[in-house]
Amino acid sequence: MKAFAESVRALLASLRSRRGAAAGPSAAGGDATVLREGETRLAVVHGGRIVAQTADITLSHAELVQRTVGALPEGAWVGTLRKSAGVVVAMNSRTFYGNQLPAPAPVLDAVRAAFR
Amino acid sequence: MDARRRGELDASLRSRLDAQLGDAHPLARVTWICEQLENYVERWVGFGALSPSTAPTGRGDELFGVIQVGAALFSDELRRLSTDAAELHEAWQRFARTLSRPGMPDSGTAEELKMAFADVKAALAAFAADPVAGEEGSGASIAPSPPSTRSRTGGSPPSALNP
Repeated sequence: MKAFAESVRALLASLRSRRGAAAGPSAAGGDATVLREGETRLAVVHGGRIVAQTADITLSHAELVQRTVGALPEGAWVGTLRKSAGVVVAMNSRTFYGNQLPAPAPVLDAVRAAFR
Repeated sequence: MDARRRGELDASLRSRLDAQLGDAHPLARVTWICEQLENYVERWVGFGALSPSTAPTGRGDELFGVIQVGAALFSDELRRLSTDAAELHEAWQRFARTLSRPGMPDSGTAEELKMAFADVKAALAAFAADPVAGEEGSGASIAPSPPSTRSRTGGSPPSALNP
């Protein structure tokens, strides 16, 4: 049942993404996307994988969440990732967490599985 | 950041501004772009503060590029506002000079850029709170034009920014 709910959520995110932001890539869904140095994305990570992301970095994190998953699911993470000095790094959304600390290790693992 | 990428971001930002505040008072539009710009500055400064390895990444630094995109739109909207508010214009010019300084993006100037933006935000908040006084400071006496009644967001100028 939980897996079904996850699938529905992912499908909804995919449909919403057609309005400007994209779902995935998923850690389980194929090859990692190679970012250029300095390239940046906004992303939502949930359940160990990226469930939404966008290259439209003019958006706020709140708008990304609203456009893709509607509301941030319990246990999900939202923030900014980018490639810097050859390494993909991720930073918490100040809007959602009140800080700009590095993303927690499980989130970073999911990000680096999807982007390199 | 190449021209195509810059163009994409510029188009996205302008289309969202028009979608959300198309007919709104120019001050509301300037305030909106100021809020977006604050996000961009904080993201760029935030990554620079994480560690030396997350400092600005040179010409390909998209976080810096989106600040430039937002700044260009802010300049456009400030012109549309048609205010002579000296404090606001001076603060904006200081920020613009910092942004375009040779060598930028440079991690050593991140805090300086952040502080320059804080001055812009404060000057805009002061102007929004009392547009007439802002104009008087420059010797002008015009007030902002009346808000449009067709705005989806109400059209009224914001009373203040959150500092």
